[in-house]
Amino acid sequence: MKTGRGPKLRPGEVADVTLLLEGTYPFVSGGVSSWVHQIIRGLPEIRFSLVFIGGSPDKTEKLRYELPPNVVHLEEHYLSDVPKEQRVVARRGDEAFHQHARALHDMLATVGTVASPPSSSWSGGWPSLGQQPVTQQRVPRRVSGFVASGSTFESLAQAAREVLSPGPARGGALAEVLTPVVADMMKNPHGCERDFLFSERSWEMITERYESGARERSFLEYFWCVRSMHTPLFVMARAAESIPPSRAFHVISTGFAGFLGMLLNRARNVPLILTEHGIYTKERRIELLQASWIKDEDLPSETFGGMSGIGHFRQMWIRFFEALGTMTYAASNPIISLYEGNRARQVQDGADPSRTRVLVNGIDIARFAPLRAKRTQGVPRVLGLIGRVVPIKDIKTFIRTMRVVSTELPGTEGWIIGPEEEDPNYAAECHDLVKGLGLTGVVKFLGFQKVEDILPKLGLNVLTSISEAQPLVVLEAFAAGVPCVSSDVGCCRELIEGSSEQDRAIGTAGTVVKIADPEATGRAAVELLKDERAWYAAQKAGITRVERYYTQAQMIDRYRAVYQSALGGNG
Amino acid sequence: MSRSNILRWVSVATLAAFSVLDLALIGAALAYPFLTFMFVALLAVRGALSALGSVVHLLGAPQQVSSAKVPFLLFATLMHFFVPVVGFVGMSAVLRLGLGAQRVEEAPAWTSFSFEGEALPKRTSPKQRSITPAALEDLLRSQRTTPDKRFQTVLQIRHLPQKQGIALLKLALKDTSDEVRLFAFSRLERFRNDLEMQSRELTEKLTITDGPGKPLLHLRLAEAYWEIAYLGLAEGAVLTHALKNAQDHATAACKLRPGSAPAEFLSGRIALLQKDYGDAFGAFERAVHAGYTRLKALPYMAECAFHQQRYDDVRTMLHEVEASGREAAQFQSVVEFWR
Repeated sequence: MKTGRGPKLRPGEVADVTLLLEGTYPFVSGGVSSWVHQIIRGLPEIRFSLVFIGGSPDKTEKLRYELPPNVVHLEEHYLSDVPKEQRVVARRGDEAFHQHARALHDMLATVGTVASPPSSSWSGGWPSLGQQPVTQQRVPRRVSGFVASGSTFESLAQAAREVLSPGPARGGALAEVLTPVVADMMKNPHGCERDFLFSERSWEMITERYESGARERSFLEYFWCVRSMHTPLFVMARAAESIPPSRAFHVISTGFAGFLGMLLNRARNVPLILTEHGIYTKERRIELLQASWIKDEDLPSETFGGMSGIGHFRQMWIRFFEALGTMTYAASNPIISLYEGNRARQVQDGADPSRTRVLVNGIDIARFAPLRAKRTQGVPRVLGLIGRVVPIKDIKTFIRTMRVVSTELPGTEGWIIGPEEEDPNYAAECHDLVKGLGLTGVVKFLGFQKVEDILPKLGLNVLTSISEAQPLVVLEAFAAGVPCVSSDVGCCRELIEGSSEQDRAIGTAGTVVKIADPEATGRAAVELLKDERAWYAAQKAGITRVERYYTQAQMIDRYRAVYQSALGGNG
Repeated sequence: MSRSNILRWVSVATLAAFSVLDLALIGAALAYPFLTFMFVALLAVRGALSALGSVVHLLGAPQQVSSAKVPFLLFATLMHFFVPVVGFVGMSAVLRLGLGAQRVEEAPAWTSFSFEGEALPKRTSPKQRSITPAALEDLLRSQRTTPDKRFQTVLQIRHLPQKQGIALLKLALKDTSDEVRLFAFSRLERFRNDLEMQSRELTEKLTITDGPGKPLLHLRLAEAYWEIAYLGLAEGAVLTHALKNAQDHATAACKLRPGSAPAEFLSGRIALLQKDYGDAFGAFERAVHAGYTRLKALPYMAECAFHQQRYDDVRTMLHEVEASGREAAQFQSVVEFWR
């Protein structure tokens, strides 16, 4: 844990809501961070505590946001944190802990789970832990280590739904096996960590699972894969031990932060709220499928489960994050998403449908509306991509788009507005691509800028992301009077074309194109830039839509209700 | 003197004595064949001599023999016994050379083999042959297949040749499932990145290279840009740009090294894709003149002639292909069409 930055609660003091933030606010700028900042500022009556979870401290040198006065506590935890001095002492290991861990892994490996009730009095009508034992049916699956192999999309939770009949007892099975593991970890996180790293029982468990599911692979690879995968969980357990008391926890993703939320929910009997902007498990899966640090030597002959063609260790990692997602969903209520597509996805991944809800984002119209008056007459021949220079934003497609646009409309510029520090290699590749395509002087990298300064100068806001949920930048651009050309990701189609019939009647606020298609993106941009009537119609539709459906006041009211419900039930 | 050395010298001395006796007995056996005991004595002496000789060899043998003493002794004794003509001296020489000589490590022939021209066809396993692009395309296009099945299909694309695989990955970019789309995207990006990185590295090398290495670098750069276009990784203005770059570098390679068959041939293919049929035909002709296999260039030349509406030339060229016999089998359907 890194200490010293930001305010600190004194012993005995309690925060209202503790936000569990993995890789985002207040050290990383971006859409999710802006949203967190909005929520905190919009609810000054709530005392927020912030728990930041990062990879390593060297990437979080400074705060990217000025913390509002209602932030009463900030602490940081890093997954790379390992105790500085560890005496390796031979130990047999705690039998009970290993039995419990074994049961949890067996459950995650052989049968998926549906969300279990949260362990708080605010349980949304769900039975409390262990109240209704579930007859556990097992799906025969080959266990491939600590987590199982299985079908690619139909996650563990989905498999569970197939075998557990619906009813009030749903979800109890996971809670039953999860609770003792959490109890062990919270009682003695350091001891459990040492047990995992150095005990004979841990060794036995690893070798036993290797023998039963992975013996054709390298044991060394397997051993280190299991170790590196699980070690951060003990960092989370240590964090859970130190986090100050709070009346509710609010986690912004599943993953490690979600696991921490689950630990806190189980151990302290405090409500856990989950808001997912993107779907963490899905994003990790895509990353892992591309990751070059995982070896796929066994690819050609790999045909077990439904993941034929994906290497064994890659599957283990994917399953690991799926398991974290399942555990987070099991502990959270409500489970919030930004649009219907993601809500459906959460349900598919194991979230209980009755606990899911859609709360759309909103923006501060008053901040952006005055920018419309700052626009010059006519449509500026400038395409802007506002976002971090990272692969998920697919900046390269924007650059290629500019090749198309500048051929059709010479003199048009493309601005990339966003920080480049997060992935310097990718940023360098983008710069090289600009040179390679002969676009020097046409495409400009402006770095981090205030959107208020940029938006009045843009003719079009272009979004080429390969994955988004509900990008704030689209709403901000609409409010500032800038139409949008966007890839068909997240709810961008809903934002541009409208979701309901009434909404669609407003008109289209730009164009939606398929992902990674510079030709189509370029053509769409050229058409809008050339046709001023169409451009102004799109501008008008964007402004109307954002003012009617996506205001910050609406969003803040919805979250105020969520927090009141959580705090009221607990208070 | 060590104990093994004493043993060795005693054995050698005894061996020498037995050898003399062996020779004497052979002489006697040749002179008096009716004396049976002489043959028995001869066999016994030869047997003893062979065994003793083997022991001497074992003592002087290299270290690696020590793990197989019994088989070695048996082998050496039998060899001594049944090879009377070569005898002890010959066997000594053979064993000494065979066991003691240093082995020469030769580089495998294939590592030092290089050639210019088209790459050899890749070997495919029976499993790979069972995957057809058409079947995968059907699975991707079908509305009835589950996202899971379509994802499996995208995974199977890796077994296809790049060009066919890329076409299917582009199709998968339109899929309704996020995973299918994003996985297809990541695979396409990997192909693009590899080629772009190759171009960057070659461009950097080109700026610091002068002299004889330059034409080859231009050719490699032309190939990298050509790959982007040929594989279908670019469209529209980006494709035009890639082809222009490819042509610029191919032209530079041809200028710096006149008469380079691969550079002229590549230049022809690029021009063909750019629809510069006259330039393409000229480049193919120059490639053939510079030594490129005429049979391989003819279909492309025929294509140019077709676009230039020189249909008689097309017929003539395809007949030439047909007349070349077995090698023309792959063009048979084209030839049939033009009959």
